[in-house]
Amino acid sequence: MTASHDHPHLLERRVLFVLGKGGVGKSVVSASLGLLAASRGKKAIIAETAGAETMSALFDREPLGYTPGRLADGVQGLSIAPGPAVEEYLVRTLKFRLVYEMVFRNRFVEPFMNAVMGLSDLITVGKVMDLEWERVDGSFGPDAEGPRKYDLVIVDSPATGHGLSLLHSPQAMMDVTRVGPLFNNARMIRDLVADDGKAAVVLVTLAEDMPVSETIQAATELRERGDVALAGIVVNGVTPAVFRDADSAAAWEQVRAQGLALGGDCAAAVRDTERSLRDRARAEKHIARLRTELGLPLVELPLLGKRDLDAESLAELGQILGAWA
Amino acid sequence: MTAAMDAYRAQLAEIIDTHSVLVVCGTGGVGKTTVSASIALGAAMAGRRVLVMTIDPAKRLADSLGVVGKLNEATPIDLRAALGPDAPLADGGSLHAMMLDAKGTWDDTVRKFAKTDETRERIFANSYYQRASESLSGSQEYMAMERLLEVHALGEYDLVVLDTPPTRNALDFLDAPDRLMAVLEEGILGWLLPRKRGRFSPVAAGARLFGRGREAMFNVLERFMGGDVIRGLADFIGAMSELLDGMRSRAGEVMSLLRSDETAFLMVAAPNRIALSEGLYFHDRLAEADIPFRGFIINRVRPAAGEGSTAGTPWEADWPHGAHDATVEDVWAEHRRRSRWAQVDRHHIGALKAHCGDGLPYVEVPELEGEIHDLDALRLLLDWLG
Repeated sequence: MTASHDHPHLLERRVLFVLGKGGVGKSVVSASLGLLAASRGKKAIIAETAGAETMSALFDREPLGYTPGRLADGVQGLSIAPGPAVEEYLVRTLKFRLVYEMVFRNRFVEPFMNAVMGLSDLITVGKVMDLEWERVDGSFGPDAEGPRKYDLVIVDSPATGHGLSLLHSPQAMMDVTRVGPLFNNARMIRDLVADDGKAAVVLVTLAEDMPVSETIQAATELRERGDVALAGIVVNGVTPAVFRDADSAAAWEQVRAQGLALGGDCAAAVRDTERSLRDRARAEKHIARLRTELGLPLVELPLLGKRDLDAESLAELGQILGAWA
Repeated sequence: MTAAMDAYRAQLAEIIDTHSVLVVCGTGGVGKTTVSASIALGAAMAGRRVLVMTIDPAKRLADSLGVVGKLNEATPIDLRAALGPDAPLADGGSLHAMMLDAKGTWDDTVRKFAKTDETRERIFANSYYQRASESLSGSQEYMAMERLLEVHALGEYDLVVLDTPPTRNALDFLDAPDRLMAVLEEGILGWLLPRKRGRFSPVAAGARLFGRGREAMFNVLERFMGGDVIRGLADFIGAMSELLDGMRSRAGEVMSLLRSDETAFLMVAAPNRIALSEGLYFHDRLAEADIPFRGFIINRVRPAAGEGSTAGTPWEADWPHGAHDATVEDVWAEHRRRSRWAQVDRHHIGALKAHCGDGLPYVEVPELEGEIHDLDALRLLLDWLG
């Protein structure tokens, strides 16, 4: 399956869950996708989960709260914290203020309920769906009409294991409850997440052994469970190809010998290039494995040399994603 | 290798030599597991009896450590066979590896602290038990500590290296025992069950639920989640309450071990802003918690050949023009890129040192080529760890 016509383009979907192992750059990819969507005239919102505070660092802003705030032109952000999300969910969505007051205002009970019932995961996904439903006039829900407040919701998901249970939480809740308002609500959320035209997962990985294995595992699990569609894979931090074209590459051995003979900085440049060529070959091997085993659209993001990824670098990465999306 | 780096390495070697528990922390993706395994290997080669406890090693590393499919079980590694006849192995050294399994440790804990067979079976049979043992906040971390204490008490090892669970906030495990206790004890228990500690009586609980005006609450919850759910939960919590006395005293013992002179905390970080800012936070939080933090291992520092001039052209460096100028320019661009990466990494490490001050070792490990998935590769890492 390459860029299939059966599937909508990345930015035509309404919700993208950015998923991957810890440390592979999920936040950077989320931020770049947000800037890309904005550059195409879309109103994007990036949702942080699990208490991460990386968006504020990337965009050099104050930490995000539960109320959406501006990250860049056309890009809003919020942090979906369990506390306020639980209140909003139970009180506003399910109209169960009594349950909320009795059970969830208790700071010790809440984590227990969240863990045992998977409630905080469900509520996080529920909040994401609220954002998808929300209209400019403040109305929301499956039947709301009018212009949307956000065209694209990007979820900077928790690391793979937790991220997968997040995506599975609506089904898990349905399995536990089987009837009742919680069941009905979970089903509504599940149906929206499972709608290929609306929501999909973007898998982020590095071109290294363990992240690639974990990505293949996650994709397999998602396909088996059918919780959500897979949009594609972003391979982050890839050593770029060294030579500009085949002619340049063809002269490498001669240039290498010359540089080593010259010594000093010239020899150092040759040694740096040798290392990059080896790194690149390894990266290509891992990327090939991803392609063969998963058959999903795939894009490489190059390793940038910036001290801190600033808005400019994020926009640059966004444009690379844009050529793919 | 500069003199300062050698000094840091000597300092780290001294720390490893003089402690019997090393807790290796760090965020995901920084190479914590390989660093932990490498430290353990080094100590074993030097003649100590070492156990490395890890959470989720890469499959091939797990293969070479021999722990695949052996959860919670100390597995001996034949160093001579793995490293070959020429490897320098001091007498008396040994290396064991153990892959931690939160679920299995919960099961053991239930077996150990359940006062009756009936309680034990009731917990194992409860459908919420499995969920709670896997996902209750702090559960995995608590169970790592529980295992550590158990292994330490056995006294079979001179050194235990604990590769901590990969939490986004590397410190969660410190609060984990307390939090878990609070959740189990004060939380649902205090609310659903009679006050009497450590005992659950369905009759008394029923009286509390229904006899003291809790009926309405039960009804609301029943509508909300279904009666089966509520009854299952109440039963689970009731049975768990029996375990609390035992678990509470263990949590206290865990904290005293972590604070003792025997224990040192090391942090593995990668030289990027996000990983290092978590390192700073970690350093500060440990100091607050009166926990002995001993040093940083900065992994995957990107090396550059030469001194790394980032400006200029090959021609300025006296590379003569010729038939392959485009290739020379490409090579030079690669040189500039690697030099810039090295500078970026230096900057981040400098900021870390400025914050945490002198006195701690900041051991740098360069980004090695390829995957580290066998003991020979772990030995390569050892050259950098001192």
